[in-house]
Amino acid sequence: MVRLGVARAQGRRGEIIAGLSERMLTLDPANHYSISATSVLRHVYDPLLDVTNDDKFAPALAESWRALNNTTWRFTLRKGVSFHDGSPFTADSVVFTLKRVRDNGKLIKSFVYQDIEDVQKDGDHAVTVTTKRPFGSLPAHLTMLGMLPPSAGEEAFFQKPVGTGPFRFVSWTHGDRVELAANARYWKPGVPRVEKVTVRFIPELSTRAAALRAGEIHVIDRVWPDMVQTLKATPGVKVLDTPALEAQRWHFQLARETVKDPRVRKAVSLAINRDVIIKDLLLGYARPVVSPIPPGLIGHTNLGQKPYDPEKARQLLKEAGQSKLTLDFVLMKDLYPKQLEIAQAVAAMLGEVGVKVNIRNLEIATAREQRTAGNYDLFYSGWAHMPHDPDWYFGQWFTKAGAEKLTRFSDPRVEQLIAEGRVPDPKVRQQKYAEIERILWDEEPEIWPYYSVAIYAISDKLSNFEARRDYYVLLHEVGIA
Amino acid sequence: MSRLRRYPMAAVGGLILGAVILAAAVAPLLAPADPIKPSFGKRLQPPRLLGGASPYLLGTDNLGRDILARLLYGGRVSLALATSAVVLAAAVGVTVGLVAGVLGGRVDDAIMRVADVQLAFPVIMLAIAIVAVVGTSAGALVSVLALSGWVLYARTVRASVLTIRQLDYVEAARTLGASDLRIILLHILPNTLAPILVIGSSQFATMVLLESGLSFLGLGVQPPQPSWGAMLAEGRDYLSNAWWLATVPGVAISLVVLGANLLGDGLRDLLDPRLRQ
Repeated sequence: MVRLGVARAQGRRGEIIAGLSERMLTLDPANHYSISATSVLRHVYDPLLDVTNDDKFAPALAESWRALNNTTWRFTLRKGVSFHDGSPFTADSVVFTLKRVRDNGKLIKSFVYQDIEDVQKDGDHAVTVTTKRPFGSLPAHLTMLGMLPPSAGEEAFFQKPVGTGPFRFVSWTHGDRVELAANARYWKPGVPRVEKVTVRFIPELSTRAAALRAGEIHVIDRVWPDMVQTLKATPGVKVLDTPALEAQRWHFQLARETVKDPRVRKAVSLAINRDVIIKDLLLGYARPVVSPIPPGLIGHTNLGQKPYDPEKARQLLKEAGQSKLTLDFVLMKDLYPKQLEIAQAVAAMLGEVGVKVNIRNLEIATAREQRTAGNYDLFYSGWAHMPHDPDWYFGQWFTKAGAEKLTRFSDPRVEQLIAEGRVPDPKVRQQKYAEIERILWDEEPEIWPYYSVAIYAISDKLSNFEARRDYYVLLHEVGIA
Repeated sequence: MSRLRRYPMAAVGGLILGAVILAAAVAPLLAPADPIKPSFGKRLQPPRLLGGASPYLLGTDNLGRDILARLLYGGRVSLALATSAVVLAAAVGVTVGLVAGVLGGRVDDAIMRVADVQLAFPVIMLAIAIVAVVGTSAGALVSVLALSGWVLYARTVRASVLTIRQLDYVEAARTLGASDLRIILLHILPNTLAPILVIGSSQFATMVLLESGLSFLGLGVQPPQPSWGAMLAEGRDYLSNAWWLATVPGVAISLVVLGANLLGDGLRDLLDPRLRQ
């Protein structure tokens, strides 16, 4: 009763129920690259840094941080923070969490942290991280890594984990829901604003939308453009949208004779009417691309929109001796909203310039196998820049090692620039990345059709909900009437 | 014809099925527009049939394509696949059934056990597995569908053969020195035809459903080629704001299944000698 009284005094009341499109698969913050897991686990664990919706890094468990030199980062930690079980948060926690993710190769995020040489504590509230080579994107990656208590084991701990986050973990019904309860002793005053948060996993949009309209849930993510009108017309429902940190990108198989020729790739790009895709198919809920990476990320440089010029496309195909070209366009079934519709539109557009497109809509696992085997010309995919930093995207897709089993991209110039762009100095990074983007924009190893827009629908009872560009649904500062 | 009149349901079924097949067959003449070419400015127009202002009788789909045109061309695909599958299943099933019935013994045992194994697999599961391996060509689809259907014929024909084999006229033919093959083709096969026809027509309904199911799951005909199941799948996402996308192919599938079932039921009664007067 006393605690309830305290909660009331702070204005903390009610329960928020969210409906997320993607099922969560783990409670271990180091063992996923899932957007829904990042969202849910952010409530239970605090990372060292948060990233704001305008791509600025903000203090969470680290009060400040800076690069001492190209291979050393220093973090000063927040004092007086404790885990849900009462134990204090100290530098030991950071040392444990970072060494665990580096050393346990089974963890999905392990590969990112391989560059860490050592993690040293300096008293209870400061940590120095040294790296084997420059690791400028470390702060960005740390926004996605919740800090664990040093006593955390493996299996058993993650059945009922404790963190320092604004909510305590209560229960997880696999594939269905996660229940969380407010952490009354959270370090940030006035947070959280509700007593309870339940996250339900509802992959089908129409079901998700129906639950929202019926008032069963209060917020849904990944709304499709075609659903917006219906939702806007529903009393008590608000629709929010924001430019997402996601670029759609369909990559070519660069080892294939047909699309190896840059003239062919250019022709494909010229034949696609991106305006039609954005305006007619996505009803304006997308933005034209002006660079391989979306605005807001370090290095983004406006290189101007890709033109639509079927005449020139035909001419280029003729020059390349490919006037009777057939392309295999592989899709991962049901992964991206409206992908089949867009792929059919693209097939029709390419048909206009004499390119026949075979759409192959395959099971996700099969599609990935085909990609590894190189059995495709064009592969439908998107990239959400989750750590708010393009280093991962560049490293994965445009280094020889990263792209070996994907697109077979290999360009020593780009490889060099990616390595040089890993330093902590943002000015250097900006300049190197701008240069990479220029090369890619010119070579067109991928088709960049549009930047996505993230659409959410919420109950008008919610206050202070922020439509995030990274698709996270964060509820600790959200209240409910 | 007079007997047909006694089974009006068979006639109705036959008419429905006949009309749909005819419409699909002459699709190029009937279709008001290209079924594949998108018209982006004309997406999701409601059917004129229900008072919509658009010039499209059944409306347009999510890429602005005429749904009537897609329905007709999709029908060609769905019906052709189903028909081929029924014919292939019947050919295999009847042959195997005749062999099992006539030869008997170990051959019979072996064939019937294979049939049992086949029946033990859920058809959709089997289809998904096969299509995942060999791909979604028309040949593969027909084979998958036929694979799910041959057992029914094999068992029925085998049972008929076992009965007919004992009959006097078969004995007589054998005494006169007719070869096995001659007896099978001229004396036994014609007498098993009635049940085969009945199974064939009701199985046609199952095949249309199955093909639609596979296309719905994305394992059938690949877009932009229309097929009823694929149209249904694409329309599902638009149920709340453009219901006609899924409803139109859904009605078409229901009609064909209804027609084929009515026809099958009627044929069974019509061809059953015990019901003859």
